Amino acid sequence: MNTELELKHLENNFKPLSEGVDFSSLRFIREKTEALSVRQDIVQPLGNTVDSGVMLTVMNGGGIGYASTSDLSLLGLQAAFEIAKDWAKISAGRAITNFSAIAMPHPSAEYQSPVKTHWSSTTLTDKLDYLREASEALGGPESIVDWSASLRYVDTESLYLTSGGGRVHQHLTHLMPGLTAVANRDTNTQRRTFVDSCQQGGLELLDAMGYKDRAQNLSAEAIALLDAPNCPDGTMDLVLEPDQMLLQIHESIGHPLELDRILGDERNYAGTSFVTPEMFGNYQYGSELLNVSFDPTHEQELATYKYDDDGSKAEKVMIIENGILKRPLGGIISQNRGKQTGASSTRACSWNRPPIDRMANLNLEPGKLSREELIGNVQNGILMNTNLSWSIDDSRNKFQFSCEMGRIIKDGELGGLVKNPSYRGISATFWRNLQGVGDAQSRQFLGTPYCGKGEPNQVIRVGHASPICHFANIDVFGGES
Amino acid sequence: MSQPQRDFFYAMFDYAQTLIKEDETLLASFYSEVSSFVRFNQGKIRQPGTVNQSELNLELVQGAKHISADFTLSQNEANDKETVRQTIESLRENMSSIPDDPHFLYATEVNSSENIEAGALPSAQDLTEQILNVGEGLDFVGILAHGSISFGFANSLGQRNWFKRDNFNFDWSVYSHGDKAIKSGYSGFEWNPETLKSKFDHARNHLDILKLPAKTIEPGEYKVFLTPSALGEVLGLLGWFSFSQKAVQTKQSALLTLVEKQTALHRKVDISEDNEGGVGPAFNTKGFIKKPKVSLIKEGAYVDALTSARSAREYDLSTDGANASEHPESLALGAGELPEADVLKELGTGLYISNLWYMNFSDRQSCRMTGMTRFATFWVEGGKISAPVNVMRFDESLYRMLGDNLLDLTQEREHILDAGTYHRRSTSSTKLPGALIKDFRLTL
Repeated sequence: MNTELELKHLENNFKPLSEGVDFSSLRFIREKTEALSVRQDIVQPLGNTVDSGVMLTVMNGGGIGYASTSDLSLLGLQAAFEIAKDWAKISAGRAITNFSAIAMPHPSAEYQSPVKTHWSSTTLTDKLDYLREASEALGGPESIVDWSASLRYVDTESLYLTSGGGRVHQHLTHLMPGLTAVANRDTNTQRRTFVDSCQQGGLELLDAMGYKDRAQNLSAEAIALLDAPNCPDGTMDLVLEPDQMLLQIHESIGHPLELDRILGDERNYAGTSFVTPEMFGNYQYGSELLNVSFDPTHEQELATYKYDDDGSKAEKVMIIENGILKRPLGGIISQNRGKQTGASSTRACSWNRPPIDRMANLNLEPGKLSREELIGNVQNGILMNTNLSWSIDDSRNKFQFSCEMGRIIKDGELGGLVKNPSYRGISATFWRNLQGVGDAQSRQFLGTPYCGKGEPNQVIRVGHASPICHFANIDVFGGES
Repeated sequence: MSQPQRDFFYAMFDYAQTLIKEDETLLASFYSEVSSFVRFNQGKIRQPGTVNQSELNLELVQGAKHISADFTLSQNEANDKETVRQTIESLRENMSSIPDDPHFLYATEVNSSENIEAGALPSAQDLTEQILNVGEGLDFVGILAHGSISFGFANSLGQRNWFKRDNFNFDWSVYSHGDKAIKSGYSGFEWNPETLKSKFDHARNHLDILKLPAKTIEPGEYKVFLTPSALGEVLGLLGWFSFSQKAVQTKQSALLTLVEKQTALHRKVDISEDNEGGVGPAFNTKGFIKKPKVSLIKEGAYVDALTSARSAREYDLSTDGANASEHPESLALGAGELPEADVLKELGTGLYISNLWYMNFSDRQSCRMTGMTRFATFWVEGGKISAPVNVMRFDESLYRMLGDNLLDLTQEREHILDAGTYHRRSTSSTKLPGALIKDFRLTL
């Protein structure tokens, strides 16, 4: 059955089912993944996955229930609908909120990621040859003990139907490239990776992100780190490149502002938040230079969509403006529960997990300083690239992050390399030390497919764009060996 | 015994076999779960639902070439047969585009098995009722996972393996206020309402302690007791690419200095992959049977790493049946001599740490780890719990905490079934004692 027919079949079968309850929805996902990798110049086993199914959600009598199935026949949908209805009955009166009182939207839309060079426009042989060349550029020197080049392509087709006639059809394509070089001498092992340039689109993204160029110089950086001294310890200025800002934004702005965490849903697993509801609208989250937007509308960013998984329209909103906390990241259900404005941020990782509050694209808006001006303002500090290690408490406050590579900054000039650079801080005060924000020229649109959260657990794609940033008076340290 | 999923998988495989050519071999792996997930917050239901998912992986082999595909099964025989046919055609078509794989290895010796333990569990709806009733009046939050999990393997050499379990895993915490909570877990194959009640009673009884004024301690070195759950986080981090043969061979294991015999752990430290004592299937997706026990660290010294079929071929070793990621699934740490009843007395003055959280390496080559205390961490004075402690960050080397600074491990060990549900319900578990450690470094 072709896709158009299959979607029509789902629509026809859902319509009669959806009647007789306060609200119901069907969310169909078909996700095709192709993963290609060349490690040490050897083509690795290919990954080909087609994952498809539906989730039926029922809100009735104040309760809620869902049922997921890969059986898309009428009987399969009917059975799933009855299970969802039973769960709604069981939870009615004992649920965290009166779900029937929430006015769920019934949107209508079509959306497709813009793609210039489609994945299927080149043959499997061509793509493997491309990765072989990248692998060959990474390998060679004796001290490079492991290396690999990879491409992951994910094509996600979804259909969201509601009992009120809503219909949203979205077709998203994601490209997630990777490069890794590992250098070793004795027990000193250093690695450099290029894994954060994940975006929506086609193969045209590879040239734009400079994939081949990175393959040319990544191993040299890993080898140079073998001879570098450990990062010095002390309180000093810290400059973070966009590929570390990604993690910094994600862990200490994104997660603490998720409304479901603030409402306590995640307290048993992902954690709570140091942010409390009364902070919105007045709390000084960071210095006046801090401007953060939630933007699921940027065409190329990894977590872009037209409507979220509860049917709310994707819109860019400011989360932090001039350092002041404005609103949480919470979708329609959390907004109703928490009596807060929020964002169109409810998403599920697939057809077999229910939607929860997520980040989508969370971006730090550019400032006015050129990269050179920003570094020129640092008297004594460290520049850090590429996240290596991350850890933060369950309230998203006390953090400690490590990077793959550091460089000394002295009197406004970049100096020598340092290895094992790390820093620690507290979210509630760290952002107030933001001293400089790079301009749009220094901004990179990055993303990761590995944001974990939720019970049952879900791993989802998120996008983060950021310029280079400068922080003052940070506790910086290095490794032991 | 009637096993509809097993019969369906074998029927699909039998059909797939009719489609392969004489010079081809076919491997197939099956996974299925019918799970109910009930999420709670504030002692109420947040999200209840049921997930019915089945996946099939087909791997076509031609000499040293191989190619595979995973797809969701609709469990409608005609539809799925058509998907199988199209998949094999597509695999064969792409085979010409890929080179020989010098590191490919699959089992050629036939080892069939069947391991079915179908429990008589009450329904998820019944368990939900019980949980709401027993937990009434408490601010509890967490998840009940309940249902059946099945794994299958088949190859065209004649091997057939089947594994099925009906089980549950209720993972929750009871909150006193703020971030002060008692974490609990109840998992297994047989449900006992009295056990659920006793666990809730235990949490209720400890809430009064959590309500005492919290102590904020300064960074420094402290004597601590890590419960089996807390120690599980330490070993869980090591499981992340440190016990892997590939990590060892490419010098990326965090245990590199232990492997190179430049460092040692305490002689009381014995770590193994105890497949025999685990709760997952004994076969892997290449048809190999897992070795009953793989000794990884013995008397504080490195012994071996988990070796997948691919690493075995690449590094000219034997496989122990490890999965492709060489991630432990049934990690066990040997017991010590400290009776659990004496833990507080032996701790004297220090920290009783029930749970650790969000661990990562702060310096991988020194096996230095950082993470947070979480849930119930108590200040102990004179062998008695005196106050809850606000969360603290630690940054400590494994070679110190399970080396010179390890005072003892408990005699008793806890078998902890992983509550993880990323993509699918986990069948991993750990069997661990608690650890009494001196000079444990807290940093923030």
